[in-house]
Amino acid sequence: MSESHSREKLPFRRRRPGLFVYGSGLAVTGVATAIAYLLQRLGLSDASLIMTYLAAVVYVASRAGRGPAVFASVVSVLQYNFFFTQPYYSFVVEDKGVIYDFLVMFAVALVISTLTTRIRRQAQTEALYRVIKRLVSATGTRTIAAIAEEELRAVLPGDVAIYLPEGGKLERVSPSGASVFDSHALLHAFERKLPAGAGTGAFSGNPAIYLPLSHAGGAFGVLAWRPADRRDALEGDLRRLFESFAHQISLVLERDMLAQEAQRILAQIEAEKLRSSLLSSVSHDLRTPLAAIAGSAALLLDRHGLAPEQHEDFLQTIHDEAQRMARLVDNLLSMTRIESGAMGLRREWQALDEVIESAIRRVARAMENRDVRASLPGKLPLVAIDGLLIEQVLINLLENAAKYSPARTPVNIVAKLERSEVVLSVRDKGQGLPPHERERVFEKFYRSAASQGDQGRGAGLGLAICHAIVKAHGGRIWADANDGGGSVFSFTIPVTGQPPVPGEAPELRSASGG
Amino acid sequence: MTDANQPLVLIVEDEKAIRRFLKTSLASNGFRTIEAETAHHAIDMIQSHGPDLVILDLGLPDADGSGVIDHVRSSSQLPIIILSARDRERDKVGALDRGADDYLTKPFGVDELMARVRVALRNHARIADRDSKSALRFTTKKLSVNLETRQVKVDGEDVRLTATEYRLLATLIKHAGKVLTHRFLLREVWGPGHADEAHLVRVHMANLRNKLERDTTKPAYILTEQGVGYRLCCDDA
Repeated sequence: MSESHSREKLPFRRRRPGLFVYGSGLAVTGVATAIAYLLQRLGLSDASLIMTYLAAVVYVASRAGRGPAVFASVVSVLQYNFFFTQPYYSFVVEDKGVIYDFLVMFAVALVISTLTTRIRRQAQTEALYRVIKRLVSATGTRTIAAIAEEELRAVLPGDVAIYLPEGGKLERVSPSGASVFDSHALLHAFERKLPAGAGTGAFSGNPAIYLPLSHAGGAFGVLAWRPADRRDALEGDLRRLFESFAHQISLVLERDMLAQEAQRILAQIEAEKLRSSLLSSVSHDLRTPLAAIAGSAALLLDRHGLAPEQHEDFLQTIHDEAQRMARLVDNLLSMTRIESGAMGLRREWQALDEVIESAIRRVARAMENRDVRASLPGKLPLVAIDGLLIEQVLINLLENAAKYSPARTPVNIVAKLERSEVVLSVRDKGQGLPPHERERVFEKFYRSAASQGDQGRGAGLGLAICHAIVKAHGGRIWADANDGGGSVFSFTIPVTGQPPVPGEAPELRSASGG
Repeated sequence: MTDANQPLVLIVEDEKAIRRFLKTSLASNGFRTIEAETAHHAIDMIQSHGPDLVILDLGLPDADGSGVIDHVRSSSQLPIIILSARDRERDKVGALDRGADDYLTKPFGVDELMARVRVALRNHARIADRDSKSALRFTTKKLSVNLETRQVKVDGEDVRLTATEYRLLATLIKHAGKVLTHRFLLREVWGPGHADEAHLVRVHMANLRNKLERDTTKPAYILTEQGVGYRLCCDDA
């Protein structure tokens, strides 16, 4: 793979020019001398000869930088003086014009080489900018590292890799065949947060360079580069560029880390707020049915002056209020599970039919005398959800619908597959929600003005929990008006791929049918 | 009032109120009861009284209720119904996989309790009487399955099942009325080595239900016990 990337994508001067480059400069002026000689034989003027040398100097300046350019300009003037001015084959200067020629060539060499250097720098800056631009839009150490590695491979000749710590070891971000990098040097760079490899104080015999991607508190990983040409690792523009990359990638990683840290803290504060408002609300919500139960029981124990049908009434109250407490406790348990966010979810591949089915069954008692109908498209994909929690969302929405719509009116559950998510809606034929309340009903413990009095007790917690559960699953939840009256509460569940398609079970020796 | 022919149920529960509720419900439905408050006491009672069924709370003061299950299963198939809270799905599944027969989620009603008890006793009797030819045909509501010819009919119409679907159904029938965990179904139908692929069960179960049920969100035969497994509805469950 290093071969495919060794082509020069950018006009980089790869390192400080060596003797070879100066030799090449000499050769170019030599060629110029040969051409000038031919031109002279053809009877062209001295100006043409000088132009030839000028061309040679421009060529060297654009290719090899300032040093070789100045060198070429000096050599050109000397050769021109030696071969083409009188006295021939001598460095003696008789014509003052030669000095002028020399000055012009010297100036041209300087200007061209300066321009070339500037263009090169600009190209490097652009490459750096392009990479950073892609990186800043990414989140997550691993993603950022993977993008950085991909970008750097396209820019730097040779093999580039980023290693991140994983399970106590440094692992390459994009696993590829045999590694050309030395694990000891990698570890050195990572643990000491110091560069290692070629041109550094440690493992200097190694053909690759290892730079730590570090922040104030530690290291994210190591950026390693093994150039196609070992000398690139020691000095030159590429080496400097590589160092800038390491620095910039570290900055991006650090920024990302801080952003995630901030998010975590925010979530923590949110959870803390939730906990405190939960406590105050729960004590109220638990106390109400408790008071009803305790009061009814006390009256029954007292026995004096109770008609038999009153007996029945109080027993029914105790039963109903106990049920309500049970539901409240279910919700509380769901709440504690999602407090830790997506981490607390027990995701499994679930068929939504099953979740809807068990939800309908669990609210059967509250839905007596109602037509609860679910309509699902034939083939819904499996979704990776916490079945009990999504069941809880449906139960809360169904109970909510029952609470806010007249007895005997139908409640419908509709499931639809829309692009990469499943939309589940619960529709009722109740009085509906005024538009300004549609957002607020999901706020913690908010209760609709329509529920003043007794009928709406306990609704606040239920919808807030729905909201939290759906959010933890990466979905959305909202309320709408139902066509023809009533409300529609909808939520989405993202469809994230599918598990391996199961085929027929293998034939077992002891068939279970027997 | 108590008749030695009535089945004897051991109630293992440390909460007095629940014990009393269980005792009264069982007694009024024709069962004799004995009680234990701790796991150790329970094991003693099982050895000394030989109950026909155990109702076991998983959260006991002296030991985890699952120790009692292990102890019982090391020597007998005595039916065990566990009591557990709703948020303890893993405990439930764990206890079922250890060999408990069924479970009840607190709070539960008398009807639910009696249905579980009857199913557990009936299944136990059937397993003990394995040689009888009575279990060759299974019928409930409009579903009828001939386990000899593997013919499945709903409302008199033939239903064509794949081999896997049939095996799922046959396993459910074999344990009709009892909850079966995903893990159990995987082991029975797919064989060992598939224990963590609950979605295999879900996909084939969905297909099976599509063929048997008129409305899969209100199934008449195969019920989902969310977080635990499935239960085949039969006449007394």
